[in-house]
Amino acid sequence: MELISLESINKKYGTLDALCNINIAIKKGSILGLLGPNGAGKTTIIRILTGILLPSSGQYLFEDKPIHKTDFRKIGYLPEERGLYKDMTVYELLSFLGQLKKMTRNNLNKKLSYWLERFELSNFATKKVHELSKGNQQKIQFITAILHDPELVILDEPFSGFDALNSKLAIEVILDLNQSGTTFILSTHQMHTVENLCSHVAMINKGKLILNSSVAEVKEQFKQNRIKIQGTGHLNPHAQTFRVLSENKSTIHEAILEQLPQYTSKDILLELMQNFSLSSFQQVVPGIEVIFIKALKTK
Amino acid sequence: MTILGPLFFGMLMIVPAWLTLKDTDKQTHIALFDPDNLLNIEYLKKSNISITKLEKTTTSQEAFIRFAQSQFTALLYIQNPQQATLYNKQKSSIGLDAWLKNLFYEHYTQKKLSKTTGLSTIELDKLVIKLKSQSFIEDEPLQSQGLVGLSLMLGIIIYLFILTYTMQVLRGFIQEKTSRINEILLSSVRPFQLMMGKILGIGLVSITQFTIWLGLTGMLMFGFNAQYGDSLKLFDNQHIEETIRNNNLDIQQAMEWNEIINTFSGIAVGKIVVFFVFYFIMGYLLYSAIFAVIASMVDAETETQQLVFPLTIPILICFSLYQTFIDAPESPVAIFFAIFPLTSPIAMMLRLPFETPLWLVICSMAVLFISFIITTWIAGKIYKTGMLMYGNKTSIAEAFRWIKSS
Repeated sequence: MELISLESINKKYGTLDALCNINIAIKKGSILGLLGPNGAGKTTIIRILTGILLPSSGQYLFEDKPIHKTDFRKIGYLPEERGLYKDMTVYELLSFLGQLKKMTRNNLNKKLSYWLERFELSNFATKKVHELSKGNQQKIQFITAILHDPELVILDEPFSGFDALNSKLAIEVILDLNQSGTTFILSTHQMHTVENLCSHVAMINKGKLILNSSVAEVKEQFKQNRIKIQGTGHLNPHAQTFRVLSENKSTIHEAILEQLPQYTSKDILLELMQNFSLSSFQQVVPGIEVIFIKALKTK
Repeated sequence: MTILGPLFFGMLMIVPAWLTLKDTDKQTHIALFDPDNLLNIEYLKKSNISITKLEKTTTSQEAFIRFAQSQFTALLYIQNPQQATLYNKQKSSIGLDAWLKNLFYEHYTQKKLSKTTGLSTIELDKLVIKLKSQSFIEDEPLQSQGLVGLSLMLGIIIYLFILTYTMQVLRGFIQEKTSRINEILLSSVRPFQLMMGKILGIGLVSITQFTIWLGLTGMLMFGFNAQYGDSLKLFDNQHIEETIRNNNLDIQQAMEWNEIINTFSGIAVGKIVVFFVFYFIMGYLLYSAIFAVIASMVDAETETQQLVFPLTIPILICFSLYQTFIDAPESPVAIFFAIFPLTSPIAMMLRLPFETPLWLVICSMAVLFISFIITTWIAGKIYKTGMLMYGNKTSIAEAFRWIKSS
């Protein structure tokens, strides 16, 4: 079931078309990586999703119904540009933002204690925000996005400002929440994060959607018919089913083969085994970063 | 602003001077009724005042009837060497009043000095005509210098109140924009709610502070009255003569105390508080809405200065025309500033201690209220777009496009 559906969304700023005919469906419980170069329209999509901006045309459905203003309370948002009220205490600030999402006092106190504990910030509850380190302020910002148990969490560059330890903590939190059914949209330039965390990916360029699919499908779409092998023996340079692209015999015999058209992996395997003892045979799958660059170049 | 700045400064100097000159061009016609021929009419010559001396044979009753039926602004009745009354058809005559008092002093000092020798200063003082001013239309005393001071004080207080709290609103808007927290807030509330929430929140803080100050002032006044009330009673209209007689006090000083008591006892505190609260709230709301627009058009607090400055020009002009409001409260200039929404809170406070026609009060309040509604509506539209725009300083033309497109 889709939690969010954007149907034929267009957004104009004066004469500028910021978004053109965007169609994205986000499944409940999925993690979508929203990718695109700077100025592609990612922020505009996020602002539409969070209700900050209205689309010029198109439909925004939440749980298959046109989104209602109360549905926005089910969305948590961590913007790329961080900002907090520096003169408030951590407790006051989180309480205020929780109340804006209509959290009850009891629920708010319960959640606050839990998340402050989880992010190792319990001792800072009565401290003013400006007294906190940048990393801890970042954690507070992260908590504001998830405090009210949203069904959808939109995180724009969630790991910027985090050290390795805190990034790991944030990833654990994302995976835990996702496990319990929370849907995520991650907008980031860190491709390995998308690769590791996301189940789906949507790519925007110049206001247009150029990719929108599951990570597995995208990889399948961009695979380059390359096979990586390891083992011992001789590789026939005039093989019928493959062509040797590169070979390395230094410690272990390793090679990259190009699968020739009309032949399957099985055909290559059979031909290889005549002169070569295989210890490893695997399809080379392009990384998201490669796909990102390739998609931008081709579309 | 680089080009407009000198223009604004020029306006600040030229407009009040021009308006004042325009106003002083007007002639004031005064009827002089001096049956005993005590006053040398030569002393009353002034370029914008024309004096018509009524015949010696006229009775006081005839003089009043003639005055009532004529175009004379005021009737100056010299009753005896110590007493003259200025009857005025206008509500205010502070300028005229002060000018006449000064003239009488000069006139009698010179007259007596030339004719009499061996008089002490105290005796000479008693020869000065004491001028009493009163409205010809209603049986109420005209404004005194005490009321003038009060009006100026109210004008300055409301200006400081409005300025202090609206600057807080402006700073709040800018901070939310520069710290980017507005992005989180706008994902929870609508831009209009956010804007009005800030304006009303700080507005309520200001009202709380005002109430506390009002309460403390009331308590202070109550305490002062309890402590010194009996002593002050000795100088009120009922007891002043007896007090001077019994205590052999300096008449001049005793009369000054009497004037202070009369001034303060004549102040309609309730009316002033109600009007102050209304004009403060509406002025605050109007200026806050304008400041919301300014905040959404800039990226840093320092950039606001050149947009805020032009807004203070009408207020400064208003203060510089203060004397005109007192001298000629029904002149077109005074009425314009009392109705123009950017100046009406201050102009109305300046004239509040004096009689103000009901139509003007209603008109001024209505215009201010309608201006607030329109400005807030426009501000809401500009704020909605402007608060999410970073990096560029917005031109006024662009802000107008935002109104059209949202």
